[in-house]
Amino acid sequence: MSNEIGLEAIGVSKIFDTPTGTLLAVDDVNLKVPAGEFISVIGPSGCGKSTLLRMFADLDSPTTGSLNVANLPSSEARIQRKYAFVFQAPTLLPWKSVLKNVALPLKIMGKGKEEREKVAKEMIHLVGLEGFENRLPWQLSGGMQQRVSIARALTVRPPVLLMDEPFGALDEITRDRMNQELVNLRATQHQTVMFITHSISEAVFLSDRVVVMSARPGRIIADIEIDLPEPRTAESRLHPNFSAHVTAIRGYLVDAYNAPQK
Amino acid sequence: MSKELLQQGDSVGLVDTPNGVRARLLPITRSVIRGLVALVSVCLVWETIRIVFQFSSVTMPSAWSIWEKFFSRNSQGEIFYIFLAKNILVTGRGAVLGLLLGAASGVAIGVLIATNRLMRRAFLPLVISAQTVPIVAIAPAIVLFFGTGTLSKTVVAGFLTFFPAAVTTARGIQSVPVDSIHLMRTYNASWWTILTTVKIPFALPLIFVGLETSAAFSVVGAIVAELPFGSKNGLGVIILSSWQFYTISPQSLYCTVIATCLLGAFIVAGIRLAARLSIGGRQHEF
Ligand SMILES: Nc1ncnc2c1ncn2[C@@H]1O[C@H](COP(=O)(O)OP(=O)(O)O)[C@@H](O)[C@H]1O
Ligand SMILES: [Mg+2]
Repeated sequence: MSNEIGLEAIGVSKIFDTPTGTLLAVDDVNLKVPAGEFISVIGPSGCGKSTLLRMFADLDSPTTGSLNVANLPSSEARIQRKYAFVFQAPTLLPWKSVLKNVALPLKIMGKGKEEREKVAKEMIHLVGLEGFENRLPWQLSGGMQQRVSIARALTVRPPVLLMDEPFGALDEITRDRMNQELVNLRATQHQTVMFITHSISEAVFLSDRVVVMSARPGRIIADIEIDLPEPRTAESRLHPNFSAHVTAIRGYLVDAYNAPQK
Repeated sequence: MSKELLQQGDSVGLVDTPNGVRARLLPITRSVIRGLVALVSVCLVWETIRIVFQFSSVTMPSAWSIWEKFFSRNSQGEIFYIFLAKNILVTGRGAVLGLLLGAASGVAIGVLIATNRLMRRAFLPLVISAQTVPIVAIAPAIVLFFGTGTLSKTVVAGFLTFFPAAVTTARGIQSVPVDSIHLMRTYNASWWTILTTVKIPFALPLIFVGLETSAAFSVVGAIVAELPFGSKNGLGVIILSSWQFYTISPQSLYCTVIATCLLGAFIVAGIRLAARLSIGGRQHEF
């Protein structure tokens, strides 16, 4: 188990061609995440975090280097549906009910209606939305919509979760609650998670490890093991290591913002 | 499409009517009342212009004489409104078939324009320059080629209805949120699945806006195909003969114009109904 790779980036760079010239978004990123680890990526906005995540998801291809997901090249991992992607916006189909939105990936995989609905209901229960199966997305709050999108991600039972600021649009109280729910969800399933965030405390609370990226071109400038007792609970935020990690990461982030821009 | 959408659709009429009395009226009753109010206003304006500018009854016949014309008998002894109704069917068939043809090919080309850069380069200039073809001028050629029957009407109506459908489809698809498409790609969904599950449904409200315009154009197209020569039936034929006899009986031209408007309104209403049935519950989406 422990020598299995959840996520791996080897010498990954990404250059965008833009009308005003080329833009180096990600610069020689090397990263190895063992299966089952929760890793957060934090850094100034525009530093290439989403680009890195999209390359892991094979939604964008690296200019140099290669990426592996669940021991497979990222393109193969996408085809075999080894990961699920959670966007900052819930990205639900507005005309479909909660149940149908959650069941969507299974429908695309060609699963029968009965199985689809059984699994979807299970996942809706898991994120605490039972009773809302037949609502339409606009009838739910932002936090509930994001829970629907997490339930949808879980229906394919992916070994890897790629999450791009999933709670970025939520208020702080809702965000803390969603953080706890994510911890609880993972207690039974142990997915490998790459989690992008702007919130230092969110990163520390959730992660086994936090990497800090510099301002563009994005490169990894710090890689911190989070030392907090398991399981993570509300108490974790009061642990002395918690504030120590937050302070340390804040220091790295200041460096990240000050990094020379190319 | 599903039950729940229909139920949603049913409440649409009530959303903008907080007023209790209006909310209780059936939608049909409401549109009949609105229609009557519009009719009376048009008649009032018509009569005012006639009196103020002192037009002769040949230049501008009275609203009442136009109304009476509907119930008079023509040279074949047929009551005029029945005669018009038969011809509405002839023109209407061509218009509706043309609308179906134009809508189907317009949506298909719109999809190609929106999803394929090569197609965009190849089709877009063609589609736009096709719009500048003076269809009235080339109608005789079309009639020579396709005959004086329904086929010519279908072709001309299809040609005119195609453009709004193509443009709104392309626009609608291009404005689909990019994350929704990325999401589908993470499931390794095929081009066709992405098109039918995400792109078309997202574009549907805009496509229906285009189809309403197309619906109005379809009647114009069918009539244009009846104008050149040789057609025996249809509103276009009656319009032609009304032109010839305008100084004797100007009323028949206006009666035919009213009949044409009714036909157009009927087809537009059909499109609205289709829109309501398929996207009626989606007013909260955007
Ligand atoms: N498709 C693209 N084409 C051109 N430039 C892009 C594209 N996607 C992202 N970028 C640029 O790459 C940089 C990194 O973007 P992104 O990965 O979204 O940053 P982050 O998620 O860290 O805020 C930004 O400067 C952005 O403008
Ligand atoms: Mg981002």
